[in-house]
Amino acid sequence: MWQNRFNRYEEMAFKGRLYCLFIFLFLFFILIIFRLFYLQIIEHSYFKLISEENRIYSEPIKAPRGCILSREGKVFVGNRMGYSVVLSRYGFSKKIVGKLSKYLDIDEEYLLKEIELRKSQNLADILISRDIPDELMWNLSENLLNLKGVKIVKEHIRDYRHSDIAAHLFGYISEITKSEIKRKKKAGYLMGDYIGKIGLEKQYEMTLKGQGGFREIETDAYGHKLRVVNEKKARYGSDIITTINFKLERRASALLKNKKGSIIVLDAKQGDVLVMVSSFGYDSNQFLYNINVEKLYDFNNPNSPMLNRAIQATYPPASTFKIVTTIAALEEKVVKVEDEFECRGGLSFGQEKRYAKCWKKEGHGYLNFLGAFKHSCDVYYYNLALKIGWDKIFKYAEMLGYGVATEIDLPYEARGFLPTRAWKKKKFGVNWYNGDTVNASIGQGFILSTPLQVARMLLILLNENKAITPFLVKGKHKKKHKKSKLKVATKTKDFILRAMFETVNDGTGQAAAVSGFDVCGKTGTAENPHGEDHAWFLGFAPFDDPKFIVCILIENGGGGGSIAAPIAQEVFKACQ
Amino acid sequence: MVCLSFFTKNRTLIGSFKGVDWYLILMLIVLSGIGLIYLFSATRNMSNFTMLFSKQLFAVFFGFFCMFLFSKLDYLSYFLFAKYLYWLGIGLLLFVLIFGVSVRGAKSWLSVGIFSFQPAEFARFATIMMFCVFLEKNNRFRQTLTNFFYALLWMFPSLVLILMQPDFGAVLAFFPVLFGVLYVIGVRKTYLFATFFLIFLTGFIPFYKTWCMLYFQECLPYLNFWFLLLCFSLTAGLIYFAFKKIFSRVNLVIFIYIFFVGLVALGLGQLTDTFLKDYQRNRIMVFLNPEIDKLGAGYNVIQSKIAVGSGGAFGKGIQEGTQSQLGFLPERHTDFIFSVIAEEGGFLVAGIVLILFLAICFRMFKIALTARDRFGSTLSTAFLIMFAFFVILNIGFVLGLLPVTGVPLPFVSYGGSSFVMNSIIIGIMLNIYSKRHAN
Repeated sequence: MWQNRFNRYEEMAFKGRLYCLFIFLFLFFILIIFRLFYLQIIEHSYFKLISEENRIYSEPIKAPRGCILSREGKVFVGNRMGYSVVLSRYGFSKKIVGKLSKYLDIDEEYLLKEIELRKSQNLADILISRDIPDELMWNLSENLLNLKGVKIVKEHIRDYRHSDIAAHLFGYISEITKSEIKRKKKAGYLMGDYIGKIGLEKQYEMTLKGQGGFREIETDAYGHKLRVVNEKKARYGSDIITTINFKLERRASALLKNKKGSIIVLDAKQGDVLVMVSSFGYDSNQFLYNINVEKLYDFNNPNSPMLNRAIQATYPPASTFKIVTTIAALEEKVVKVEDEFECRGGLSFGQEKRYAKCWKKEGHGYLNFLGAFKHSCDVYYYNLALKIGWDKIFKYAEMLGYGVATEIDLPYEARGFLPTRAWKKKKFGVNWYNGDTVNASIGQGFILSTPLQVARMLLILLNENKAITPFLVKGKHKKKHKKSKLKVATKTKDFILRAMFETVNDGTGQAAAVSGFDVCGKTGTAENPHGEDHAWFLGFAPFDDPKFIVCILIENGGGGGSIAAPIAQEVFKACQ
Repeated sequence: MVCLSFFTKNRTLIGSFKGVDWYLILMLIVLSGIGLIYLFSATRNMSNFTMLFSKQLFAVFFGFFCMFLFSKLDYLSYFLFAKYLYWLGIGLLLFVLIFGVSVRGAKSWLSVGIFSFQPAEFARFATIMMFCVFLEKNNRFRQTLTNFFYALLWMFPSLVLILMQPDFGAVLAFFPVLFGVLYVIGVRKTYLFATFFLIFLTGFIPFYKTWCMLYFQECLPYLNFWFLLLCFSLTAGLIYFAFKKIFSRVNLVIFIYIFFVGLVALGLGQLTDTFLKDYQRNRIMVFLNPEIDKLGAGYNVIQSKIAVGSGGAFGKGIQEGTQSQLGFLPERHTDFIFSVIAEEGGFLVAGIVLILFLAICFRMFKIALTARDRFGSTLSTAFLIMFAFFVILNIGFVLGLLPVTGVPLPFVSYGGSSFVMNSIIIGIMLNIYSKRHAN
């Protein structure tokens, strides 16, 4: 109580206001206590997690990918050591990035954007540029003192040393995208990891990739590594041995130089793919680095180099389909081998008197079955088709693998197409006419197939009781050969093989003949309304004991006999 | 009037311990002890640990010695001293502006031998003392406007001098003391409200502009003085007519008076905004949105919150705090010492520290209530407000409630000047308490 007694009232007022003031301060303290409680008790687990993330860095240990070998053991795809430039997460500054962009000759803004992306990976080091040339590496190492936080690390770089001959086969790897990480959560991919995008690299991704390890390191705020908290060692990826014959593959790719097309060589007994070339090709190595937009643009060029023509492109099988029609005719006993039809360069049929031409304008005259096959007379087959009917041809075509995926161990295979009556009705609203049957019997019209399907037809025919699946990696390919529904009479089979032999020796395929190696085959010329015809050649050798099946397709090449057959000859020579 | 009690009465040892607020002293010892333990933990891994820690240890002992000394000095003697202390403070501030050592862009340190101290700490103490003395002497005229202006005028020189250093944090403490003391003294509410309005609007404009910079950049070019003036006038007019409609009679004089205060504040706010330094602008931005600059200005706030939150109920243990020991927490021994306590001691120790602060504030409040005369009450109130303000501001920004301002936590943060000045304040309050029954 104040000692001056004259201002009692004033004192009471003063102290009243003092109470108010203290209550006001007290409220602040209450607020602070609540906030402390909220942070430390309610949100504790969240902040605990963040503080752990703050302190512990997970450093991935990458596992080198397995190699891809040819059947002789030659390395198709391997690894080599290369140098990459990384930036420590803490050394990051715009100045350093500016300097680096000058050294590496990359646009600074682009680099900054990339760094922003990679920062979210929560790795101790941010990748700047992968696999720099040696010269640049030396130049950078000399100037590392000026580039604080920049490090040069040695790492495994995928090496596609034979990308020029079999790029489509092994495909390529490139950095995993965010959506892929989400999709393959269990596989334990990290940002910055590589993943097979196409070809064998994709098909055998799990075998090839191995299992990366990691090292958990405690760091302080300045990025100094203090100690290793936890470590898991990397498991290397295993190699795969393909069925590809290296020499043949190289020869075949040389034959296709500057041509659009595909060459397939199969082992006639086992179904091993000995050669699979698709032209034009690409350089698998370029996908290892950041893909530039301009480069991507190049892939949209008319030659479509990214397309594996052997399994992804579909064409009308043309005269090679006559083998199917032949089998159907003989098995259904519609004609006998000796039956003759006259070819006058065309045939008019049905009530509408539609007219279908033969490829030879002046006509072949009277031909028996063998003659029709080896000269590839269309009119003869028109007559056959009208007698057999589409349904029966369809049955045999399906059994021989048209319109069905071959299930080779490569991703993104095209299934081809085999039309049915129902399909046509649905699609065009009109019935299946005889004209369609006539067209289909010589492999034109709606039928589409991949070169591999065409080659597989012969494979099934030669091993009639097994529906053999062509494959690229022995042992790993799990698809078992199914029992084929096809039961071709020996007589029919012999007739076809004989006819194919005759075709090469005395028919349309003479250009494919190799002395001392009994080549048999069938040419085909697919009419292409958009441009030049596609040239086909399907053959096997030797005649007595078939070892190799060769299928050649030259896109917009021209006549099968004149374009595809000579290439086949070269291939058979190399096989011999 | 000079009555140094130490030399006049109670010359015996027992007598000198009579009437001492033992609760307060005990709480301070516990608080300083906790502070020293966590300061030890925070500085243990620093390269200059020995120097830092021994300096602080010295400051603690010297501070308690000063506390003892000042508790023996009769507070009525400040009626005489205040003037000299005040001018000494101003002198020191001028001196530091000319000869001071620049630390992190602020010329706020004076070196004396191996020790350096902040004159702003002393100047604040002296100015507040002078302020209280002035109010006490002119208590009769406390309701007049001139007296009110004179009181503010005493504050003004040191305020400007500290701002010139510039030390924003040290200036901040003036305002709550000013308002609090004037309110408790019983100044007319209109004046108080007008001043508050003035300062609030002055401070509000930089905040508002920064907020616009963050979220409405396209409207920034329109936010010049004239536009704001137009808005302000329109609002004032609307309020006037609304009042007229509701109460049918409005004191136009007071209204115009407040309107002009608003105008001045508008100008001042614009001026402050123009002279705002980049780092200050960044701090405001970060307060408005800490995520905007995670590794820059927002780093402190985020890391501090993580440290506090990860401490949990019982903490990680002394020297086990990952945020503080691995260097994620900046300024961990000075401004952010409370984060270290919260991380390593958890809610338990942090809560104890908070309750200790509250209890100390409560003791100071009690002293203000029981003081012998009005001057004692006024002085205690001023010190209480200053002390509480520092605690609330510091812990507030550590917990991300307030923008980061470089103020230390009393009795806990590293820093000799702050510790000694706070001890002196407590010493004076102990004296006021011991004199509560004296004649």
